[in-house]
Amino acid sequence: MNNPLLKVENCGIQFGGLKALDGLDFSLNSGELLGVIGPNGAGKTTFFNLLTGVYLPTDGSLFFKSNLLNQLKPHQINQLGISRTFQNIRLFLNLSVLDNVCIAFHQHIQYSLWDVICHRKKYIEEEKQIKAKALELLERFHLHETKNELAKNLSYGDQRRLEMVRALATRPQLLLLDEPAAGMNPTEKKELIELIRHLHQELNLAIILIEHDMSVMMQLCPRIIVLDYGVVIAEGTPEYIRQHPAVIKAYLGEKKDAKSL
Amino acid sequence: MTEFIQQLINGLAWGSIYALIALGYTMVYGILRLINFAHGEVYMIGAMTGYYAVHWGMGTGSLYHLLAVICIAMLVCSLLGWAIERAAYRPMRQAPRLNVLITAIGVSLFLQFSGQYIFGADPKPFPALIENKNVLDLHGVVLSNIQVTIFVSSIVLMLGLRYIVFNTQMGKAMRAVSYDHTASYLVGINVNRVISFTFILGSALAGAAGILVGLSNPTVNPLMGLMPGIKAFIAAVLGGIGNIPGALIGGLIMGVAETMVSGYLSGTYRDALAFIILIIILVVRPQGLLGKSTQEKV
Repeated sequence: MNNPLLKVENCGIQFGGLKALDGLDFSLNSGELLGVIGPNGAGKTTFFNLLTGVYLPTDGSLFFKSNLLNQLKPHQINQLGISRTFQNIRLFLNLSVLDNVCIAFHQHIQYSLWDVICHRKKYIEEEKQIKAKALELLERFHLHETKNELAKNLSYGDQRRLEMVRALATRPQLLLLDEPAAGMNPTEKKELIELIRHLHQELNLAIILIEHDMSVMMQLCPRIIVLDYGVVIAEGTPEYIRQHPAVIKAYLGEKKDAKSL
Repeated sequence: MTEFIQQLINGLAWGSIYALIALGYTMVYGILRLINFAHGEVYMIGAMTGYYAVHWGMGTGSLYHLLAVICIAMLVCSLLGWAIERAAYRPMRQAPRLNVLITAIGVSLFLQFSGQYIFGADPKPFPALIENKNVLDLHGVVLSNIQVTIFVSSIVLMLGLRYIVFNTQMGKAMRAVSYDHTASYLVGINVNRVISFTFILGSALAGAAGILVGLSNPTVNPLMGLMPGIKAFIAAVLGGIGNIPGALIGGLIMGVAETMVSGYLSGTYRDALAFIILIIILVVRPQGLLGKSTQEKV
């Protein structure tokens, strides 16, 4: 039996008296696409922060490719192969589009300061390679024409895509997308769905997707987890989730309350 | 007019030394939002290294000796800068900024007074690494070979710094970290390593500045870092702290202004001038000459 790519065992985090996440327990196989939904404040982004090492879990353990993540630093987790985007775009707005992508290759550089000072071949070749790879990625996402623009001058949709390119440039096996469709118009959403599907199928990338837009979720994710107040209240196919009484309750409130309004 | 041009040249030479020190302040500020008050002491250690390198058998007199001494001082200072960050600032990474600032003052005092203990408090004559000659004499305007050395070395070092910051992956990582720590480590950048690297670069420049000062100043002593350190800090604020070209311009303005004041008014106003500049800049343009609130910071 294959080990799952990601294994979350009874994981939780507490901020003071508040249990932001509690008893999270599931696993994800490589190449799987998982959706996470839940009302605001349910702990979805906290879950990503746990996975990427921004927060340390107070209970339970996280395994990625059989490595325990609990004690690792965020950049080490990234180097293992987990990469993410942010709910609010966090690009390096003061750098050019190309540099934003080049930075993501940082962990793979081999040359030292000494090679730079002596202007050795090793350094020149490596810089060239990084640039070429970054350009290739940008081209695939149709961002290469803006490569010399500062990231802050891009349109919102392009910034979202650039953030995905940057996440991909770290060569992840698991990509975490935090509300990638937020603020996009229907055309952009459609393109985004195509893009995610394409990434998932062609690169065989495992993806966890947080999204509020149910239509996006229904089209993309064969499996969805629903969080509410830090606990998983339902898990299953989109159809199952849509019918699930606990999910309806979490989103719409109890029937009695709804009527009394 | 002759005197004015002469003062200008002297001021620019002095100013490029300030600029070298100011670059260290500005880079560390850009990346950690910390005023590293120990930076002036790193520069003092640079000068001391030069003194001891010659004292313990390095020869003098040729350009090669000078280059070798500069390299040794840069090496020693980058080690010191790395150690300061590692021992004093890294444990304080999550602490409030005021605590880190006080730590910086503590490190500064520690280095000053352990310097007095180890090297002795008396001023030491800095060896003449190269013989002072005038290379140019144009209607009374004199340019000495020491000034030429200062100009050339600072220009080379600053161009090198510029190249590293803008063209190499490490430099890009520095700019990324200065913009957003969290986003940086989430794309796999080892933020602590980048911070160490910044300290190493800045301290190496301060080390070189220490030797260059030794060329034009007759003596070195363990407290010599204090005033130039503060003045270079003011130069960095003047140019817009966190801004690399700003540090350069601020340093040059500072050097020229000081020489002009001591040339035309009186040497006693020299130190007061730096603080007058600081007060004026904080009142009129607190973000500095080149600083903008959205300016790229390294």
